[in-house]
Amino acid sequence: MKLIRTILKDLAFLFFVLLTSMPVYSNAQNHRGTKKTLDSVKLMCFYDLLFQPDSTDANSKITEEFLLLIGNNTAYSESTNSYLSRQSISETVASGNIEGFLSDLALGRIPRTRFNTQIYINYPIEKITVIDRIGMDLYSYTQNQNELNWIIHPEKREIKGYTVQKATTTYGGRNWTAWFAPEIPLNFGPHVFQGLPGLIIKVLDTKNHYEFSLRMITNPEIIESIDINTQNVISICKSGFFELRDRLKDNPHGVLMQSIQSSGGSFQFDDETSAQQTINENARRRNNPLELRAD
Amino acid sequence: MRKKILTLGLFVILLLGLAKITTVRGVELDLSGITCIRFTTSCGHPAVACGSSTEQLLNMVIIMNNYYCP
Repeated sequence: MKLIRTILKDLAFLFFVLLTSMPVYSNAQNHRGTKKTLDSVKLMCFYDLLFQPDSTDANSKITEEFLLLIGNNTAYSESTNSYLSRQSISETVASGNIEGFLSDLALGRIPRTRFNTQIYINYPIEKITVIDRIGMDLYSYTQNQNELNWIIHPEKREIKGYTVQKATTTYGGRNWTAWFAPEIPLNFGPHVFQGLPGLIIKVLDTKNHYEFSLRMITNPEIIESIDINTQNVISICKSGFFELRDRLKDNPHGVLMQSIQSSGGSFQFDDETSAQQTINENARRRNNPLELRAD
Repeated sequence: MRKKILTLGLFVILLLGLAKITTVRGVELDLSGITCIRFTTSCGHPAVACGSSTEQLLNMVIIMNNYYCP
Protein backbone atom coordinates (compact mmCIF):
# COMPACT_ATOMS: atom_id res chain seq x y z
CA MET A 1 0.00 0.00 0.00
CA LYS A 2 2.83 2.31 0.93
CA LEU A 3 4.63 1.40 -2.31
CA ILE A 4 1.56 2.27 -4.43
CA ARG A 5 1.16 5.56 -2.61
CA THR A 6 4.81 6.47 -3.22
CA ILE A 7 4.56 5.52 -6.90
CA LEU A 8 1.42 7.62 -7.34
CA LYS A 9 3.14 10.54 -5.65
CA ASP A 10 6.15 10.21 -7.97
CA LEU A 11 3.88 9.91 -11.00
CA ALA A 12 1.99 13.04 -10.02
CA PHE A 13 5.34 14.85 -9.71
CA LEU A 14 6.53 13.62 -13.14
CA PHE A 15 3.28 14.76 -14.81
CA PHE A 16 3.51 18.10 -13.05
CA VAL A 17 7.06 18.61 -14.35
CA LEU A 18 6.04 17.52 -17.87
CA LEU A 19 2.95 19.69 -18.12
CA THR A 20 4.52 22.80 -16.63
CA SER A 21 7.62 22.56 -18.81
CA MET A 22 5.70 22.14 -22.11
CA PRO A 23 4.43 25.70 -22.58
CA VAL A 24 7.84 27.07 -21.62
CA TYR A 25 9.53 24.84 -24.17
CA SER A 26 6.96 25.69 -26.80
CA ASN A 27 7.38 29.44 -26.23
CA ALA A 28 11.15 29.07 -26.23
CA GLN A 29 10.91 27.38 -29.62
CA ASN A 30 8.79 30.18 -31.04
CA HIS A 31 10.85 33.04 -29.69
CA ARG A 32 14.35 32.05 -30.67
CA GLY A 33 16.33 35.01 -31.99
CA THR A 34 14.73 35.12 -35.41
CA LYS A 35 14.76 38.85 -36.12
CA LYS A 36 17.60 41.08 -37.18
CA THR A 37 17.16 44.84 -37.02
CA LEU A 38 18.46 46.57 -40.14
CA ASP A 39 17.55 50.19 -39.50
CA SER A 40 15.40 52.51 -37.42
CA VAL A 41 12.30 53.96 -39.06
CA LYS A 42 12.46 57.70 -39.78
CA LEU A 43 9.31 58.08 -41.83
CA MET A 44 6.24 55.98 -42.63
CA CYS A 45 4.30 56.27 -45.88
CA PHE A 46 0.98 54.63 -46.65
CA TYR A 47 -0.06 53.89 -50.23
CA ASP A 48 -3.43 52.72 -51.55
CA LEU A 49 -3.08 50.09 -54.22
CA LEU A 50 -5.99 49.82 -56.64
CA PHE A 51 -5.56 46.61 -58.64
CA GLN A 52 -7.37 44.28 -60.96
CA PRO A 53 -6.75 40.65 -59.89
CA ASP A 54 -8.60 39.27 -62.94
CA SER A 55 -7.12 40.62 -66.17
CA THR A 56 -10.32 39.69 -68.04
CA ASP A 57 -12.67 41.54 -65.71
CA ALA A 58 -12.30 45.31 -65.26
CA ASN A 59 -14.99 45.12 -62.56
CA SER A 60 -12.80 42.95 -60.35
CA LYS A 61 -10.77 45.94 -59.12
CA ILE A 62 -10.12 46.02 -55.38
CA THR A 63 -7.88 48.00 -53.05
CA GLU A 64 -5.27 47.09 -50.50
CA GLU A 65 -3.05 49.36 -48.41
CA PHE A 66 0.74 49.19 -48.53
CA LEU A 67 3.21 50.62 -46.08
CA LEU A 68 6.64 51.97 -46.80
CA LEU A 69 9.05 52.34 -43.90
CA ILE A 70 11.98 54.63 -44.59
CA GLY A 71 15.12 54.36 -42.49
CA ASN A 72 18.52 56.02 -42.66
CA ASN A 73 19.90 53.61 -45.25
CA THR A 74 17.20 51.04 -45.87
CA ALA A 75 13.51 51.07 -46.78
CA TYR A 76 10.89 48.38 -46.41
CA SER A 77 7.60 47.82 -48.20
CA GLU A 78 4.80 45.37 -47.50
CA SER A 79 1.02 45.16 -47.67
CA THR A 80 -0.32 46.57 -44.39
CA ASN A 81 -2.68 43.59 -44.02
CA SER A 82 0.21 41.17 -44.54
CA TYR A 83 2.18 43.04 -41.85
CA LEU A 84 -0.80 43.05 -39.46
CA SER A 85 -1.54 39.36 -39.93
CA ARG A 86 2.12 38.53 -39.19
CA GLN A 87 1.88 40.74 -36.10
CA SER A 88 -1.29 38.96 -35.07
CA ILE A 89 0.53 35.60 -35.30
CA SER A 90 3.44 36.91 -33.17
CA GLU A 91 1.05 38.27 -30.53
CA THR A 92 -0.93 35.02 -30.39
CA VAL A 93 2.26 32.96 -30.10
CA ALA A 94 3.34 35.18 -27.19
CA SER A 95 -0.06 35.16 -25.45
CA GLY A 96 -1.05 31.59 -26.30
CA ASN A 97 -4.62 32.74 -26.95
CA ILE A 98 -5.26 30.52 -29.98
CA GLU A 99 -9.00 30.38 -29.32
CA GLY A 100 -9.25 34.18 -29.50
CA PHE A 101 -7.27 34.17 -32.75
CA LEU A 102 -9.54 31.53 -34.32
CA SER A 103 -12.64 33.34 -33.19
CA ASP A 104 -11.32 36.59 -34.74
CA LEU A 105 -10.54 34.71 -37.94
CA ALA A 106 -14.05 33.25 -38.23
CA LEU A 107 -15.49 36.75 -37.69
CA GLY A 108 -13.22 38.19 -40.39
CA ARG A 109 -11.21 40.28 -37.92
CA ILE A 110 -7.80 38.94 -39.01
CA PRO A 111 -6.67 41.09 -41.94
CA ARG A 112 -6.60 39.24 -45.26
CA THR A 113 -4.13 39.95 -48.02
CA ARG A 114 -3.43 39.10 -51.64
CA PHE A 115 0.23 40.08 -51.19
CA ASN A 116 2.77 38.32 -48.98
CA THR A 117 5.80 40.05 -50.46
CA GLN A 118 8.26 41.77 -48.10
CA ILE A 119 10.70 44.09 -49.83
CA TYR A 120 13.96 45.43 -48.39
CA ILE A 121 15.49 48.25 -50.40
CA ASN A 122 19.27 48.69 -50.18
CA TYR A 123 19.70 45.48 -48.25
CA PRO A 124 22.31 44.34 -48.94
CA ILE A 125 23.87 47.56 -50.27
CA GLU A 126 22.59 48.48 -53.75
CA LYS A 127 20.38 45.39 -53.81
CA ILE A 128 16.75 44.63 -53.10
CA THR A 129 15.92 41.59 -50.99
CA VAL A 130 12.50 40.11 -51.64
CA ILE A 131 10.94 37.63 -49.23
CA ASP A 132 7.79 35.97 -50.48
CA ARG A 133 5.65 33.01 -49.56
CA ILE A 134 4.47 29.99 -51.49
CA GLY A 135 2.24 27.93 -49.24
CA MET A 136 4.04 27.32 -45.97
CA ASP A 137 7.47 28.11 -47.41
CA LEU A 138 9.20 31.47 -47.32
CA TYR A 139 11.62 32.21 -50.15
CA SER A 140 14.16 34.96 -50.56
CA TYR A 141 15.88 36.34 -53.64
CA THR A 142 17.81 39.49 -54.42
CA GLN A 143 17.86 41.80 -57.40
CA ASN A 144 19.83 44.91 -58.28
CA GLN A 145 18.44 48.25 -57.18
CA ASN A 146 19.31 49.84 -60.51
CA GLU A 147 17.33 47.24 -62.48
CA LEU A 148 14.46 49.64 -63.07
CA ASN A 149 16.28 51.89 -65.60
CA TRP A 150 13.97 54.87 -65.20
CA ILE A 151 13.59 57.39 -67.99
CA ILE A 152 12.86 60.81 -66.49
CA HIS A 153 10.58 63.03 -68.59
CA PRO A 154 10.22 66.83 -68.32
CA GLU A 155 6.43 66.56 -67.86
CA LYS A 156 5.20 67.87 -64.51
CA ARG A 157 1.82 68.06 -62.76
CA GLU A 158 0.37 68.40 -59.31
CA ILE A 159 -0.75 65.45 -57.16
CA LYS A 160 -1.81 65.75 -53.52
CA GLY A 161 -0.38 69.26 -53.37
CA TYR A 162 3.07 68.14 -54.55
CA THR A 163 4.61 69.15 -57.82
CA VAL A 164 5.53 65.81 -59.38
CA GLN A 165 7.57 64.81 -62.37
CA LYS A 166 7.03 61.88 -64.73
CA ALA A 167 9.32 58.86 -65.08
CA THR A 168 8.77 55.62 -66.99
CA THR A 169 10.20 52.15 -66.92
CA THR A 170 9.48 48.53 -67.83
CA TYR A 171 9.45 46.00 -65.04
CA GLY A 172 7.95 42.56 -64.41
CA GLY A 173 6.35 42.44 -67.87
CA ARG A 174 4.54 45.76 -67.46
CA ASN A 175 5.18 49.34 -68.54
CA TRP A 176 5.08 51.67 -65.56
CA THR A 177 4.67 55.41 -65.13
CA ALA A 178 5.78 56.98 -61.87
CA TRP A 179 5.17 60.48 -60.57
CA PHE A 180 7.82 61.56 -58.08
CA ALA A 181 8.15 64.66 -55.92
CA PRO A 182 11.64 66.27 -56.22
CA GLU A 183 10.71 68.43 -53.20
CA ILE A 184 10.78 65.25 -51.02
CA PRO A 185 14.37 64.10 -51.57
CA LEU A 186 13.82 60.44 -50.67
CA ASN A 187 14.46 57.99 -53.49
CA PHE A 188 11.90 55.42 -52.37
CA GLY A 189 8.41 54.26 -53.24
CA PRO A 190 6.04 51.32 -52.78
CA HIS A 191 6.92 47.72 -53.67
CA VAL A 192 10.23 47.68 -55.59
CA PHE A 193 9.70 51.10 -57.11
CA GLN A 194 12.59 53.34 -56.08
CA GLY A 195 15.67 55.03 -57.45
CA LEU A 196 14.11 58.34 -58.50
CA PRO A 197 15.30 61.75 -57.25
CA GLY A 198 12.24 62.20 -55.04
CA LEU A 199 9.58 60.19 -53.22
CA ILE A 200 7.20 58.35 -55.55
CA ILE A 201 3.71 59.80 -55.07
CA LYS A 202 1.99 57.64 -57.67
CA VAL A 203 3.04 54.71 -59.83
CA LEU A 204 0.79 52.82 -62.24
CA ASP A 205 1.07 50.44 -65.16
CA THR A 206 -0.10 51.47 -68.60
CA LYS A 207 -3.00 48.95 -68.54
CA ASN A 208 -4.27 50.46 -65.28
CA HIS A 209 -4.16 47.05 -63.60
CA TYR A 210 -2.00 48.28 -60.72
CA GLU A 211 -1.96 51.80 -59.31
CA PHE A 212 -0.21 52.84 -56.10
CA SER A 213 -1.15 56.28 -54.72
CA LEU A 214 0.41 57.90 -51.69
CA ARG A 215 -2.21 58.52 -49.03
CA MET A 216 -0.23 59.67 -46.03
CA ILE A 217 3.26 60.40 -44.70
CA THR A 218 3.69 60.16 -40.93
CA ASN A 219 6.32 59.94 -38.28
CA PRO A 220 6.99 56.42 -37.02
CA GLU A 221 4.66 56.04 -34.06
CA ILE A 222 3.88 52.34 -34.09
CA ILE A 223 6.71 50.72 -36.01
CA GLU A 224 10.15 51.73 -34.82
CA SER A 225 12.54 49.50 -36.72
CA ILE A 226 13.03 47.70 -40.00
CA ASP A 227 13.54 44.04 -39.10
CA ILE A 228 14.29 41.02 -41.22
CA ASN A 229 13.61 37.40 -40.39
CA THR A 230 15.96 35.09 -42.25
CA GLN A 231 15.29 31.94 -40.26
CA ASN A 232 13.63 29.16 -42.23
CA VAL A 233 13.76 31.29 -45.38
CA ILE A 234 14.86 29.42 -48.49
CA SER A 235 17.26 31.26 -50.81
CA ILE A 236 16.30 30.96 -54.44
CA CYS A 237 16.96 32.80 -57.71
CA LYS A 238 14.16 35.05 -58.93
CA SER A 239 13.33 32.90 -61.98
CA GLY A 240 13.18 29.81 -59.73
CA PHE A 241 10.70 31.56 -57.47
CA PHE A 242 8.50 32.55 -60.40
CA GLU A 243 8.49 28.91 -61.63
CA LEU A 244 7.24 27.80 -58.21
CA ARG A 245 4.63 30.56 -58.25
CA ASP A 246 3.36 29.33 -61.62
CA ARG A 247 3.12 25.80 -60.23
CA LEU A 248 0.95 27.13 -57.41
CA LYS A 249 -1.27 28.88 -59.95
CA ASP A 250 -1.71 25.65 -61.98
CA ASN A 251 -2.48 23.37 -59.02
CA PRO A 252 -3.18 25.51 -55.95
CA HIS A 253 -4.79 22.82 -53.78
CA GLY A 254 -2.08 20.22 -54.51
CA VAL A 255 0.84 22.63 -54.00
CA LEU A 256 -0.58 24.01 -50.74
CA MET A 257 -1.28 20.58 -49.29
CA GLN A 258 2.18 19.38 -50.29
CA SER A 259 3.87 22.37 -48.65
CA ILE A 260 1.90 21.72 -45.45
CA GLN A 261 2.97 18.07 -45.43
CA SER A 262 6.61 19.05 -46.09
CA SER A 263 6.48 21.40 -43.10
CA GLY A 264 5.41 18.48 -40.90
CA GLY A 265 1.80 19.59 -40.59
CA SER A 266 -1.51 18.34 -41.88
CA PHE A 267 -4.72 20.02 -42.94
CA GLN A 268 -8.20 18.71 -43.69
CA PHE A 269 -11.33 20.55 -44.75
CA ASP A 270 -14.61 18.96 -43.66
CA ASP A 271 -15.91 19.44 -47.20
CA GLU A 272 -12.83 18.93 -49.36
CA THR A 273 -14.74 19.10 -52.67
CA SER A 274 -16.30 22.47 -51.92
CA ALA A 275 -12.96 23.89 -50.69
CA GLN A 276 -11.20 22.68 -53.85
CA GLN A 277 -13.87 24.27 -56.03
CA THR A 278 -13.40 27.59 -54.21
CA ILE A 279 -9.61 27.61 -54.52
CA ASN A 280 -9.73 26.65 -58.21
CA GLU A 281 -12.23 29.44 -58.84
CA ASN A 282 -10.03 31.86 -56.87
CA ALA A 283 -6.97 30.83 -58.90
CA ARG A 284 -8.91 31.40 -62.13
CA ARG A 285 -9.89 34.90 -60.97
CA ARG A 286 -6.47 35.79 -59.55
CA ASN A 287 -4.65 35.56 -62.85
CA ASN A 288 -3.01 38.98 -62.96
CA PRO A 289 -0.03 39.27 -60.56
CA LEU A 290 1.76 42.57 -60.08
CA GLU A 291 4.92 41.09 -61.60
CA LEU A 292 3.93 39.00 -64.58
CA ARG A 293 7.40 37.57 -65.13
CA ALA A 294 10.86 37.50 -63.62
CA ASP A 295 12.42 39.61 -66.50
CA MET B 1 15.45 0.74 -7.50
CA ARG B 2 12.48 -1.55 -8.30
CA LYS B 3 10.15 1.24 -7.23
CA LYS B 4 11.81 3.74 -9.58
CA ILE B 5 11.64 1.35 -12.54
CA LEU B 6 7.99 0.65 -11.76
CA THR B 7 7.20 4.37 -11.55
CA LEU B 8 8.96 5.20 -14.82
CA GLY B 9 7.34 2.23 -16.54
CA LEU B 10 3.91 3.35 -15.41
CA PHE B 11 4.72 6.91 -16.47
CA VAL B 12 5.63 5.82 -20.02
CA ILE B 13 2.53 3.61 -20.29
CA LEU B 14 0.33 6.48 -19.14
CA LEU B 15 2.00 8.84 -21.61
CA LEU B 16 1.38 6.43 -24.49
CA GLY B 17 -2.15 5.74 -23.35
CA LEU B 18 -3.01 9.39 -22.92
CA ALA B 19 -1.33 10.47 -26.11
CA LYS B 20 -4.08 12.96 -26.78
CA ILE B 21 -5.64 15.34 -24.33
CA THR B 22 -8.51 17.31 -25.79
CA THR B 23 -8.88 20.77 -24.38
CA VAL B 24 -11.70 23.27 -24.72
CA ARG B 25 -13.09 24.64 -27.98
CA GLY B 26 -11.38 22.26 -30.35
CA VAL B 27 -7.74 23.01 -29.45
CA GLU B 28 -6.25 19.55 -29.04
CA LEU B 29 -2.90 18.91 -27.40
CA ASP B 30 -0.95 15.85 -28.40
CA LEU B 31 1.88 14.96 -26.06
CA SER B 32 4.04 13.85 -29.00
CA GLY B 33 4.30 17.57 -29.85
CA ILE B 34 1.57 17.86 -32.45
CA THR B 35 -1.35 20.17 -31.76
CA CYS B 36 -4.56 20.08 -33.75
CA ILE B 37 -6.99 22.95 -33.99
CA ARG B 38 -10.49 22.96 -35.38
CA PHE B 39 -11.55 26.23 -36.94
CA THR B 40 -13.82 27.80 -39.54
CA THR B 41 -12.45 30.06 -42.26
CA SER B 42 -13.88 33.54 -42.59
CA CYS B 43 -15.96 32.27 -45.55
CA GLY B 44 -17.40 29.34 -43.63
CA HIS B 45 -15.21 26.29 -44.47
CA PRO B 46 -14.75 24.18 -41.31
CA ALA B 47 -11.32 22.50 -41.15
CA VAL B 48 -8.73 20.88 -38.89
CA ALA B 49 -5.07 21.94 -38.93
CA CYS B 50 -2.31 20.03 -37.15
CA GLY B 51 1.24 21.21 -36.53
CA SER B 52 4.13 21.13 -34.12
CA SER B 53 4.26 24.81 -33.12
CA THR B 54 1.74 27.58 -32.60
CA GLU B 55 3.45 29.69 -35.24
CA GLN B 56 3.21 26.90 -37.83
CA LEU B 57 -0.47 26.33 -37.04
CA LEU B 58 -1.43 30.00 -37.23
CA ASN B 59 0.50 30.50 -40.47
CA MET B 60 -1.33 27.52 -41.91
CA VAL B 61 -4.70 28.90 -40.83
CA ILE B 62 -4.01 32.36 -42.29
CA ILE B 63 -2.66 30.98 -45.56
CA MET B 64 -5.59 28.63 -46.05
CA ASN B 65 -8.02 31.44 -45.19
CA ASN B 66 -6.38 33.72 -47.76
CA TYR B 67 -6.35 31.10 -50.52
CA TYR B 68 -9.64 29.32 -49.90
CA CYS B 69 -11.86 32.34 -49.36
CA PRO B 70 -12.99 34.47 -52.27
